[in-house]
Amino acid sequence: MSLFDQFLVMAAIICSFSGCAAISMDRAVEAETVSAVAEPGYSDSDSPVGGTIYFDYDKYNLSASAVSEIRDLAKSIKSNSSKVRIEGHCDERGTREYNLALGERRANAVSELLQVNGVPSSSITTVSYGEERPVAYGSNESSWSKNRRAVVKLL
Amino acid sequence: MILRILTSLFIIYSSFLSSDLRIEITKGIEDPIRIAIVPIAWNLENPPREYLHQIISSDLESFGEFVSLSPKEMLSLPNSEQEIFYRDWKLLDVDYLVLGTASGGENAQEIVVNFSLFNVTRERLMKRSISVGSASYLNALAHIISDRIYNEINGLPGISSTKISYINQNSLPELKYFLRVADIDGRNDSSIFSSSEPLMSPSWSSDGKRLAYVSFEEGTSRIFIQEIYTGKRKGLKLERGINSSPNWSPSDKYLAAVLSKEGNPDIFRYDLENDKWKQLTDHFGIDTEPDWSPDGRKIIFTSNRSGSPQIYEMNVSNKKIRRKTFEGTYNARARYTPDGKSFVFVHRRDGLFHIAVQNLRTGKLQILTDTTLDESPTISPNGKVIIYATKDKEKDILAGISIDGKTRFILPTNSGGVREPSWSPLLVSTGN
Amino acid sequence: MGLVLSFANFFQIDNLYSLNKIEPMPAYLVFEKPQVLKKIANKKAVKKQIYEEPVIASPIPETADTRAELENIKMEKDLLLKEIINNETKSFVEEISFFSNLIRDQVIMNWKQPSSAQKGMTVEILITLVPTGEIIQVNLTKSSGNQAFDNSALNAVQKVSKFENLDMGRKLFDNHFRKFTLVFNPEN
Repeated sequence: MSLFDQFLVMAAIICSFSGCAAISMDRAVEAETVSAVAEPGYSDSDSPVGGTIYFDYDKYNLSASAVSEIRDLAKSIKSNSSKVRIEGHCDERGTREYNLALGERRANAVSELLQVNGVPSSSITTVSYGEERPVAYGSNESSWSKNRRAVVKLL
Repeated sequence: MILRILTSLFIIYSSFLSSDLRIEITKGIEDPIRIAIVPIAWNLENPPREYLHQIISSDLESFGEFVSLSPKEMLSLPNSEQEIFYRDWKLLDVDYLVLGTASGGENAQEIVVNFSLFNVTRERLMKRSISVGSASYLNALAHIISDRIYNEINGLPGISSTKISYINQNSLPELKYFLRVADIDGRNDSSIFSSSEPLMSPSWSSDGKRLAYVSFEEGTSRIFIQEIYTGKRKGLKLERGINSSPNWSPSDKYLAAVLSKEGNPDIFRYDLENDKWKQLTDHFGIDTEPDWSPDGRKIIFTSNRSGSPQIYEMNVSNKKIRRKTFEGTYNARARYTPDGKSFVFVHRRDGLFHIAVQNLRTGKLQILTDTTLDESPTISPNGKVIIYATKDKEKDILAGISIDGKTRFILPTNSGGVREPSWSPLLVSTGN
Repeated sequence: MGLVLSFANFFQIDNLYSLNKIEPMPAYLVFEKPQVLKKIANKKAVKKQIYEEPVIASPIPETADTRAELENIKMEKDLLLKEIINNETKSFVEEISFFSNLIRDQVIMNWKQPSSAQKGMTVEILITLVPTGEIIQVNLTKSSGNQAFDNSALNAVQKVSKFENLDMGRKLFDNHFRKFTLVFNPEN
């Protein structure tokens, strides 16, 4: 193999690790999975969003970062005397009605922590949409993780 | 003396020898029943363009139980019993034969079909029937005939006259949700309600005239009841939190549903006469997805009171609750089979969601589907077929499987995604 | 039925008797079924023969030894006889089993169970055959209570109409296969 060929092979190997497609060699370019139906997901931002909290699969407990995020959110809500609407969501796995309940748990978890941080309960309404309003379509963890959320909307 | 002994010996021994032989047959063959439906003769000036025999054939073939002979293959086309040459049909391995004539009725709209069902193997007439219908709903008349044939041969009600309700979501041109009703053969598919907010959980009343469902049109979940044929709509008394998962009692007097107004989702019962909610379960966990048993005495539901979703059964009168599923960590959305002896449900195994069936008495669980994101099973009113929601390459579709797991099919879909199927009860009486 | 047989057998006793006289029952005689039947029934008669026809050819003074020997030989013959009877009965049972399976298979191949079939349903049909295997009479002796299920069983029988390969001895046929009952009882 000539020096040039060796160089090409090296470059190809390096490129294959970093995912670039610059070198034209017979190498399959990894394309992102394109969904058969290009469904636009629901947009959370039809009203101003104070914050979005994410959850693990089948869980409604708040992570440490979520806790601090909610604490900050509480401060700004109180200072603006805003009213908020917390919408709880799930990914598509599992049954729809059970997910409606799970979504409510998530919204309630955020609501309770806001109240602990001084936001009056009268300023908070919660609603669960279960798996009915995904922001991302796709049966993969990337989409699923984006959908497991509680969205705090400012009214 | 010796001879006498010999004689008695013979008699005893030979009667011992010629004992009554009983041979047990414990199984048969899986082949579908072969039926020939001779094109029905029209005694009308202007026969309609639809071919009754084609609709009846496809009705019977829908779920793998029958295979029908195409008229091209028929060796003769008898129009009456006298014209039947059974050998012709036995040669074609036909089990049953249907002959019929159709004529006008009392008015221009009416069609009268006179049909006869023959058992080819035993060369005899099985059933003769007169069915009357409207010329503009010829397929409805065909379905009634199919059901009568099915019932006579199988001893179970036919389901050709049933309907299915489901949710359809379209994203283009804009996000919209539709509550749709279609005949089980896919015809007459129409939207009875649409909204830009989510719709969920359609449930048929036992009289087949109303649908209860969940709508988010008011910004939160609320249960509505809609009369299918008049469009009349009424919301149940709205409570704080979740209002969802409606399910009609066999008498249609009550709806079982889920309310979270007491702090967590519990099963409640709505009295339609006085618009009052009554709490049935009271647990800090999630109780949801109730289904009423065919005899109205029990409610099966999903609860995570043991830590993860499992199926529980509650006695309505004394509120006693018993856990039913013990395999796996996610069992939900149970629906009783019409005989009340089993239930179909969503079962997660190795992270994948399948439809399974479990016997209530023995606890034996059987996974039916090999698709992997399955939900919302609904079972036909004769207990033979299940339709459920699943995904095909990211698209929400409805699929079906026979209860014995042997026949699978996919329902043709509209644009967008379809989900949450609900099978109607028997809508037309086709028994003898 | 037994009476008829017994009379028929009467006339063949002499043949057997002469057969028996020749030698003790070697196993291969078992293949002659009709004769074997009588042989078994003739147990007592055979035994009697043994007594009356001593095996020992030359006259031997009756001492204690010879009597003991006679007893031994008698026991041996009894044992041999028992063995043959056992083999007989065994292969008898095997034959019934073999033809029953043949019949069962042919019925299974023609039985399409209706949708309403359930475990626990049983229908019984009495079949009458002629030696060619042809079904000449069908009687529903016990209904399952489900008409569709009963009909499916009757259909299956009608479809068979003639059992193939039932080449069995006449005696076996008459005793067991001329009339028998099919019990339809699904396992699903």
